[in-house]
Amino acid sequence: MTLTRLPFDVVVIGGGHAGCEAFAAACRVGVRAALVTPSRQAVGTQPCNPAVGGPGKGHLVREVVALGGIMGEVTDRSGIQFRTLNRTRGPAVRATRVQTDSAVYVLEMMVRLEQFLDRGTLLEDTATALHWKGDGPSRRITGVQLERSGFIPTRSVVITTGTFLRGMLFIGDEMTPGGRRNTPPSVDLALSLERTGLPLIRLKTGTCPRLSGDSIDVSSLEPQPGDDPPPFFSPDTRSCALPQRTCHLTWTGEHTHAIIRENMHRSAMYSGLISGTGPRYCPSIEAKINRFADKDRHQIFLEPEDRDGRIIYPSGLSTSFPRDVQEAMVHSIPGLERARIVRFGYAVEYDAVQPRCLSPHLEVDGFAGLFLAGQILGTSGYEEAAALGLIAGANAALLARGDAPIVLRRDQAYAGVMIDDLTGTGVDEPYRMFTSRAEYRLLLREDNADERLLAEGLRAGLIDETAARRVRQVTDAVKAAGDRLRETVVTPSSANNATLREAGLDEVKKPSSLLDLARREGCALARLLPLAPWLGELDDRTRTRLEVDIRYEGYLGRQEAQAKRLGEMDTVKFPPQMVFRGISGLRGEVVEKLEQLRPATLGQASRIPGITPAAIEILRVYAKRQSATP
Amino acid sequence: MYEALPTDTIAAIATAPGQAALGIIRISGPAAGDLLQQVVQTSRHCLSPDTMAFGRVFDRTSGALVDEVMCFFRRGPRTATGEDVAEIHAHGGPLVLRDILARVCAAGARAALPGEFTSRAFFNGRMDLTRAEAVMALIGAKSEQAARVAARQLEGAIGKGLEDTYDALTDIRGQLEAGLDHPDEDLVGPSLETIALSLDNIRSTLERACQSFRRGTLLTRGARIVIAGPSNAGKSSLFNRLAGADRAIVDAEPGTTRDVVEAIGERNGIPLTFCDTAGLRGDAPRVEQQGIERAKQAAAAADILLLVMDGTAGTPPEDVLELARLFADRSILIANKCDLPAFSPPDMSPLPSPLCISARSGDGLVPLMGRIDALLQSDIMGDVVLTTGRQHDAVDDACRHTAAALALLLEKRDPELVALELRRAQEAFASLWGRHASTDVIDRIFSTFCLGK
Repeated sequence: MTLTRLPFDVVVIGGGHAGCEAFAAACRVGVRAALVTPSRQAVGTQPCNPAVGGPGKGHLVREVVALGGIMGEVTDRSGIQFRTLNRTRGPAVRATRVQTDSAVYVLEMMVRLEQFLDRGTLLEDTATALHWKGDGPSRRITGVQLERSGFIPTRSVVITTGTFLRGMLFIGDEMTPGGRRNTPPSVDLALSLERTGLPLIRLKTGTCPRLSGDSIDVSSLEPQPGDDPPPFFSPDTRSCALPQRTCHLTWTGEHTHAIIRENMHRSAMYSGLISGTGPRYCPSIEAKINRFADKDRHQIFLEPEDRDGRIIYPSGLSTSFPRDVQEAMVHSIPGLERARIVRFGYAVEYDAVQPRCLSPHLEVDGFAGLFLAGQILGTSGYEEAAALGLIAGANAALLARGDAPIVLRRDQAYAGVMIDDLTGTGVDEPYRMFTSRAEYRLLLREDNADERLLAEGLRAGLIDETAARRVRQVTDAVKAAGDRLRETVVTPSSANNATLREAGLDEVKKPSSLLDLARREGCALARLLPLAPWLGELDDRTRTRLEVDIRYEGYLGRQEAQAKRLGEMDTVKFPPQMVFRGISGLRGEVVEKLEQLRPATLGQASRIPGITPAAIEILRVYAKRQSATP
Repeated sequence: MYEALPTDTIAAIATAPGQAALGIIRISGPAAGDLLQQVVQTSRHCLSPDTMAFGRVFDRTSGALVDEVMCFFRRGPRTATGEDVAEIHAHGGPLVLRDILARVCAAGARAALPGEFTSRAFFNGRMDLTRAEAVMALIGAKSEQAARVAARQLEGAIGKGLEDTYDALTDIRGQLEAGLDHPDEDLVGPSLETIALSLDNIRSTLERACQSFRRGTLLTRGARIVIAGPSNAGKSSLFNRLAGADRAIVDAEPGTTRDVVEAIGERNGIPLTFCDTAGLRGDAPRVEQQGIERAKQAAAAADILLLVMDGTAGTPPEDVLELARLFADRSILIANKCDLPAFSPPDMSPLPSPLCISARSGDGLVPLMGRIDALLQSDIMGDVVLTTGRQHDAVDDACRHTAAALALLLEKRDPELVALELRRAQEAFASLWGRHASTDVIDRIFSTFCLGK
């Protein structure tokens, strides 16, 4: 396929989790898009955990699915273990997590991308430079330089190069330039980006050694099976495509810790080779021993990387020790005494762009057509990357089409929380999603992601009317069933009370609605079946949603009201050239923070620590003035 | 995009803080009229727009009269803010004003943010930009000054107690959130009982801090010194001595002082308000009975209560002893008329023996002022003292949400609901220092737990 020198509306650079979603989203919106990746055989590679989902992250995947994204289906198709985490807790924090066969994941991703080739183009190539015109805060992308295909003119570029910008891999004192194992870094593009003057930061992350499955003895280890029935991400998935695997749990011990302590100075993390900031939530094993010296053991999950369990990912053992220390450390762990390391763990240091320089639709401020998504924005995780990629790709396409971009609110989606955190506050360590970052956590659930994002998805053309109809059906069914629960009165007749007794429920003493009874029974609608057989006809989704509404009764309304009140501030936008300095009445330190973080809206300003309510009211008046005088 | 401005109803004290003859509470927004009618009882026909009407504010539960007020209502847009506006003109004491404002907020108004009336006026076209900017700059300067004062207090001993409590709250939230966000990790958290106990401790610390608000405001609003006692014990003579002018009518006929009479003074930089009250007398005629009720109310609102007894009249009446017991922490017992031959200080045990003075000759006044100083000092030097309404509201909010979290925890409700109340508590609390609750909690999680794969 040689489709060079054709004008594209959107060129996506990078075929990782962000790039694939960006490309697919741009195609769904309906513009001409290209995906530039050095190897189409490597799209959607999982260089770290062979798993997708978990609290916050599973929520993001459901949002990607709700906006027509591909990650959900790809994960379902390549899943070898499906679980719902936090099952015993409430619905807002329940989260789907799936172990995947990494090789199948890549294949499934390729299959999905090929479905877009009627609209989009895959270019096996490497981007070396950006082209733009104009200068200062009024630049515009004109095209991108590719190694083999040469100059490609385009309206917009979405850069999703992950850890490849000046990436450097560390195994002990071995240093290899690379974005991930066996893959060279993008140095030329990094230089080109540097010339744009975007603020770059140096970050660090790492991964575990991989073990050969047949060299591990799991007989004494605690097994961790998947759920039955398995929870899926996509509403279209009906059953598992691959045989299911069990994970196993083992622990480090005093012996392991002694090896680590003795060799601490040989880890790239502690020998002074690495200067980038690593994430606190994903520390290397040496960092754990260093920082939590009083903990006498750490858990290690043995996660299969493929459906046959030939390669095992020992989750929890991320490290940048030299090879001999990795060997000794692994062999000190129960079940891994004779384990063969097939790939060594490593740390990777890379350049990222400080995301504060982006507007809330993921375009660089003052640089029309330049979009960024994924790890290059200082995030971490496939799910975070996918959600950002989808929004960046869709917005690049929407702007090319002349439509308003998607800007999600904090009470609307985890993706909205993430983008607001990134562009409003910025990062000083790789950003990972947690449910505790969402102030409207009760509203942002896996079970209602499609309802939350229906309107935006339809407007942008990311989902079609068929998908929308399916969402509306559930919404309507929940409402109808809720009304019926509220309106059906159970009188304290002897017949009714006999039915209740038979069902093992307490009798009613005065007329009660089915809703009252549901509350009394801790929202378990199944227990009311003898009284209301029609509840049995509700499909699982409708029943789950109904139970959530009852369980969170009162709280949902309060969160919505609060969101509405605070959300008003997010609609007050500051003009991009807003000058905070010199606004009378603002304290010096407030001005400093505003000038540094440059909030795009009054809402973002209100979330900056130290900004007082009085300052907010002053800013409200000035926002109006500055938008009134061009 | 400015049509999306808030449509809720806001309220605030519109007059300058401190003692004044009159204080105004202004309410603006669509519910202004409703709220006014909920809080102030007027005869219905009096609430016609643009007319001042007489009304009374009652306490809903006890039925006690809070204040007699004048009120006013006007429909938008020809009002100061361009919205429906109601005003309550009350008797000036800051405590009464805050009390009425709290009632307006309880009825559904939101406490206005600084500058919010002005920004509404501006956006509704009732104020031009130049003037709005001038007002905003002034509000900014004032809030800057207030913020500096508040920051100084929070840095000092005052803030230390609260900061420890904030840390304790952050800890508990961190533990809960870590469990929710990292269900697969090997986290050993404290038991439910331990968490409940800590929450209860936090709640009671916050409650005490809220109670300290009244004391804290001594610095800014001044102290209220109420003189009470039996009829004809010489209260008005003492009042005139302390106030330095013949403000109260002094007469040998019992029951001469029928209303609360106030005078303003100053001591060591603290503004003082002296209040003279009608005598406590069991057999008073009807009209005077009301005055006695007022005296009791005034005593309840006192920072310092001077209980004056007639040192020539033997055992003081039961009313006085009851007041002395009720307000033991802020009372100074005084036996007056020590210049008369018949004087014999009454035995008050187990209460402390009274200070012997003569309001007429001035004997014993120096030791009395010394006792007043000591009480004022002890109030100001207390451990946690909240001094601004905003601080009080923040801590009060934090307290209520902590209590709600505790209740949910004990009912064994979903942990994310407990966490939600704790988040609200922590956010309200964090606003005291302008801190960021989410960041603090995530920092705490990662410094406490070893997480990550």
